[in-house]
Amino acid sequence: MSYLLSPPLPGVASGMRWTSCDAELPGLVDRWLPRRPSGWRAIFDMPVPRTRLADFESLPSDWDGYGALPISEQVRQNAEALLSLFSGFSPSLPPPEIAPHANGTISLEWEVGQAEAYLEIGKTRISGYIRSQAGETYLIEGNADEVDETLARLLEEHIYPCTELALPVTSLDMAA
Amino acid sequence: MRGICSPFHVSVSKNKLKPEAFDPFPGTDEVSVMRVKYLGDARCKLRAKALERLPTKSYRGVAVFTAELARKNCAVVVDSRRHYLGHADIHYQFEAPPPGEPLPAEVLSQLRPRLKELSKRAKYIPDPLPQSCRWSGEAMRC
Repeated sequence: MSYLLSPPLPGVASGMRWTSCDAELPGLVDRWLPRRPSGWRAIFDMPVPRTRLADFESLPSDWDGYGALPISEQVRQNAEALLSLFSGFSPSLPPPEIAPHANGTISLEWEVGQAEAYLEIGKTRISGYIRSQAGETYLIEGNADEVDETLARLLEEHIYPCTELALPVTSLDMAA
Repeated sequence: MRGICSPFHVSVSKNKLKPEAFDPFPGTDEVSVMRVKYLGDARCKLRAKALERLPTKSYRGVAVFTAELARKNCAVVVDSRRHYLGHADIHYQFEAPPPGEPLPAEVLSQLRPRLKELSKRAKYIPDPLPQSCRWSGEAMRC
């Protein structure tokens, strides 16, 4: 994952690109930026989620050995629409974990520090919850074709809230 | 234990189970499991490998956990030897949603953390020789 920070970090030359040293260590990212600083935007490209959705198209009946249903075109379209909504309204949200489920649904899941959000998308319904950093739980339920930017903003507010960066940056290592 | 046949149920890079590995059978609240104590490692492997349908569904390994862990996180473990001796079902005790639709949000908010805990605590044992009919991995014990 690469992040283009604008405006740049104090003491860092403008236009500098900071790259996560290991995409398998999301905790490292969390320690660096547990909260998104006010006025800053981290831009993520999201090639992985769309690749994952495409993988689900070929899942046959009983794809898990225990009777799992294939993921229908409608469910994939609903998930695609939701991902597009999030990338359009909340580009600072990290890409979710995407998974197919035995009942023919697709889930999107975010875990950032103590906060988590889980959305499961069906043919006509979407259902899930958000657990904030403070431990409050918000239930989400509704028609899949009626999701709007309110959900995106709710996710952003509770999963990756915008606050002042409290920790000063004292060193920054650059990878060649 | 539970046979693992889907790449979406295990993180190969981290060698860890995912909560989706414990999704119930569609239209039910049941998760089918095998009792290692009755079947033994070898027959558990044969049963798990029988789930395979190449090339789309490839047997990879097994998820091993105790009935106690299942009861602590999922609710009820019931012997169901009408399928075969050594078969059991875990019941999450909720009303199954229609095909292609998610559970209600309130149920999801309670069930998902339990599945995550179960996947975290269950032991994933990748089969060192999945193409063989013999079990040559470590003992299926927690």
